[in-house]
Amino acid sequence: MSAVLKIENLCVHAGNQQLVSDVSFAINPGERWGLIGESGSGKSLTAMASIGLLPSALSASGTIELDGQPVHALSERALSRLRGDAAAVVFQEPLTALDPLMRLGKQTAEPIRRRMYRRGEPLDRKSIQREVIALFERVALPEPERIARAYPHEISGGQRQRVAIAMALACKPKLLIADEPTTALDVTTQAEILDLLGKLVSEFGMALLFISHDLPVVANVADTVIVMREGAVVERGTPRSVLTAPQHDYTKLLVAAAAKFDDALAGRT
Amino acid sequence: MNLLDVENLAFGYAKDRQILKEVSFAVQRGVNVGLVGESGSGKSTILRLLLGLERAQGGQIRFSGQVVDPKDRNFMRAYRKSVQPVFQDPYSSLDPRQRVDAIISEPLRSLKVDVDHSRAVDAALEAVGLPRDAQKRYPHEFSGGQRQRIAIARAIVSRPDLLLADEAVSALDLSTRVRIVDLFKRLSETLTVVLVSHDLGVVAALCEEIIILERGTIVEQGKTREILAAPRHPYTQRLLNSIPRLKA
Ligand SMILES: Nc1ncnc2c1ncn2[C@@H]1O[C@H](COP(=O)(O)OP(=O)(O)O)[C@@H](O)[C@H]1O
Ligand SMILES: Nc1ncnc2c1ncn2[C@@H]1O[C@H](COP(=O)(O)OP(=O)(O)O)[C@@H](O)[C@H]1O
Ligand SMILES: [Mg+2]
Ligand SMILES: [Mg+2]
Repeated sequence: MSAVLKIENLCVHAGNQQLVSDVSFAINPGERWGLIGESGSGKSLTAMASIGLLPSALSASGTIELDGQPVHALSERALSRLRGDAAAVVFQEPLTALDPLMRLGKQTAEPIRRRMYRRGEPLDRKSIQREVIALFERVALPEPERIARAYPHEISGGQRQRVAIAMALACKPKLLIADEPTTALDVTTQAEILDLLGKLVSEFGMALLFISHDLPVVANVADTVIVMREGAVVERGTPRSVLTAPQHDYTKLLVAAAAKFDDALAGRT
Repeated sequence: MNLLDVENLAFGYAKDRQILKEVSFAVQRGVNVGLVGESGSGKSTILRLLLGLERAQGGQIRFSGQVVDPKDRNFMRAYRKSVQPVFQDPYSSLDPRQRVDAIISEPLRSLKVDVDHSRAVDAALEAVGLPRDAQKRYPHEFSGGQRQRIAIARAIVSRPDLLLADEAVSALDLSTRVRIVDLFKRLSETLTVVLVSHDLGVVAALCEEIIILERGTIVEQGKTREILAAPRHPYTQRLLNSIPRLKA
């Protein structure tokens, strides 16, 4: 079985400042990985490097293979083609991914159209529209027809995140990268979105790279957890092993912090 | 006597849309209160009313038995010394062009508090666990958690009775969040904290009492421990069930 994403010795620099240090991991089809670390620890840079989207001011070394293809060596054109098929990203703030001036149905149709074009399928407006509505139903958006006609600012934050997920699914990627997709949402909405993501990843048979600073969230979503600190991986393992027997001091600190709030909630203090 | 009595507060920013409906609660001296609800439920609006930044359209707020009247300037001066806010975002709430000592002593100047400013700043810095040499530095030289400590030092420099903290730990990383919650806990040996948060875990760790707000209405209030152990209102139950736990 070949990995959908294989990162070996990834380093990212800004000038002579090292932002990501020697990160390596490989995600096989269908696996769920979680990336934990506090803000600034290099999670997003690792994710962006995986799909060849690092800001041009930064330089990277190491090798990254996305669906068996070396990301470094590809032309921009080949890369954007690969990105759609191999990996799609959902960001923390869906507004950054959505065009404020375009109706949601129309922007969701674009990745569908690109996918059909890539795969040499006939581009038929009616069937694209049907797929948009079907995707909105899959992500449990209420009144999908109305939302397809709406603009991003006309729906709630949780609904926008559902649209962003629908757009990611439209690519039918082998890997879904979710970069803090629930950090900006209320807990109740977060719970719904996490539930939805878990279900869709199974249904579509996708692999998942879930990024968050919230330890309990990652532990509930992922089968394998990576802990990052100051650009480097300090620990990896199953959620159970990381939570019950953390090795690195930083992981111990994280687990103790999360346990403290957990205990307070359960009245154990 | 209660530190704070809030009775039947009604408020809307616009005439046709009421934000708060008959909000009533009391804060006892020495008993921290957590105000919990989803975004848009009206938590910050309640704090703005408590701070006298907005005027209620109905109801009353009393502080140590005295009616809080934003038009009564003498009362408000004393009130502002006693009731201080801490906001979510230490980045935007600290003036980047001022040194830390000037930032922290600002309430002493604007409220004309008659104390030795440099001694008061020293004491506040010590209380929040920042070194004395932090005074001559600028906010950007500090991490997010340390900036929140600076904001808290500014809030306690006038020796208030009540801190109104609006999502004051929400933007912090988990490990920093624990430390700032511990700081609030230590400070609450000598003052009372009302903490607005959408994070029930933080409230459970800091506040003996809790108020659950849904769309401008209080749906449940009482002892945090009791409500978390047996939430009665469906909305509270939903909030509680939504929290990701370590122990599934
Ligand atoms: N374009 C950039 N130029 C310089 N530094 C950057 C750039 N993007 C991110 N960084 C820095 O790299 C570090 C890691 O950033 P990031 O991967 O976004 O962290 P995380 O997602 O874990 O919060 C941070 O210190 C950040 O300030
Ligand atoms: N300055 C304002 N003008 C008009 N409406 C406002 C203003 N501030 C808040 N609101 C509205 O009042 C309601 C309650 O907001 P807020 O008190 O900020 O909620 P919370 O702090 O619980 O997220 C929301 O519907 C919000 O849109
Ligand atoms: Mg990030
Ligand atoms: Mg608020």
